[in-house]
Amino acid sequence: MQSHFWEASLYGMPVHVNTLIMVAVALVILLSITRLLTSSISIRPNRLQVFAEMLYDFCRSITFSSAGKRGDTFLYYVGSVFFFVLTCNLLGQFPLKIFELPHGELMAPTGDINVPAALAVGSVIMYFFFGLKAKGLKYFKHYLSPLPDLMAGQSLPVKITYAMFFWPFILLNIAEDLTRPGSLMIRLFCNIFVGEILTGVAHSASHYLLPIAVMGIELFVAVVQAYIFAMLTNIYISLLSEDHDHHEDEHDASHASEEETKVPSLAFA
Amino acid sequence: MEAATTYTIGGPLAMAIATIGPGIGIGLAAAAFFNATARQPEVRGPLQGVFFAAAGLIELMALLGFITLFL
Repeated sequence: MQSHFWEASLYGMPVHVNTLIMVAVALVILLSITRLLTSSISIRPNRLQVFAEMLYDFCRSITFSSAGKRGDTFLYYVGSVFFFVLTCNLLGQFPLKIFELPHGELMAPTGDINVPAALAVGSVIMYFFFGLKAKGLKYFKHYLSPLPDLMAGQSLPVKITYAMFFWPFILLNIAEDLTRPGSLMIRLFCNIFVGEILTGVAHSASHYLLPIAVMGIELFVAVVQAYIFAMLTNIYISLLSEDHDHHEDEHDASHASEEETKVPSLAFA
Repeated sequence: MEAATTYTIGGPLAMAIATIGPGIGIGLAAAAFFNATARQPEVRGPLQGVFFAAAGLIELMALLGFITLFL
């Protein structure tokens, strides 16, 4: 395991230089593509602009599916995460062995557990931010989650009985804030890391056709994992920033699903 | 010697057992998705995202089995 990384020390903290290089490459690719696609925006769109709008529509379909028009407030984060994870995953499929490093080797940045961990922490920060922004301090009420619904309109002894039996749910709700980023991190990291291992195993079995088939599967996995990461981030944000006192949101959401079925969806698989 | 044997047999065996449940789970989810798409083809777009999200949630079980390889 040690030999895969080029470890250096920055202010006493260990950093993986090969991962940093790949993240920098991913950012440069993303920013230059964005710059290229939005270079000539006009009312009569040219091909680049149509392509950019297609990508935007795809990201919007992610947030629209669970949050409706309310999703436009956090569309920028979900879309950025989708394209960043997608670029990082796909970077692993390039022939990176041709670049020689002093230590370790270049690989997909999401195959190092630190990048998915950072993204997962970012997701937690964003759902706390949007939850607190939408609901204020009432946000913390969801930690009591089944109790307020059960207790509504009950007499005091019944309330006390419910509290006696359902208090462990509070611990579960608090633990959810840890398991959510943990599961996001492990899902992304394992899928990409297993892909690297699987390509190596296929390469040791046969030098010619087998690795190509595995790398084809890897392309699919890269897109699906980026989609799942963005989708789950979007679901967490929209779930926790939902205000139950206002029912217009649900109305919007039902309209959105109707629109969704009419418009041909941008299916990628 | 013994520890190495335990790793080479026990780890992959744990991984193999861990994949049974998610395999069944994703199979059921995919079957339900195909059924729904066959009955109502227009529901394919919205369901696709939900299906992939659910598949990702189920997949985590197998990945946790993979993590045990390194413990």
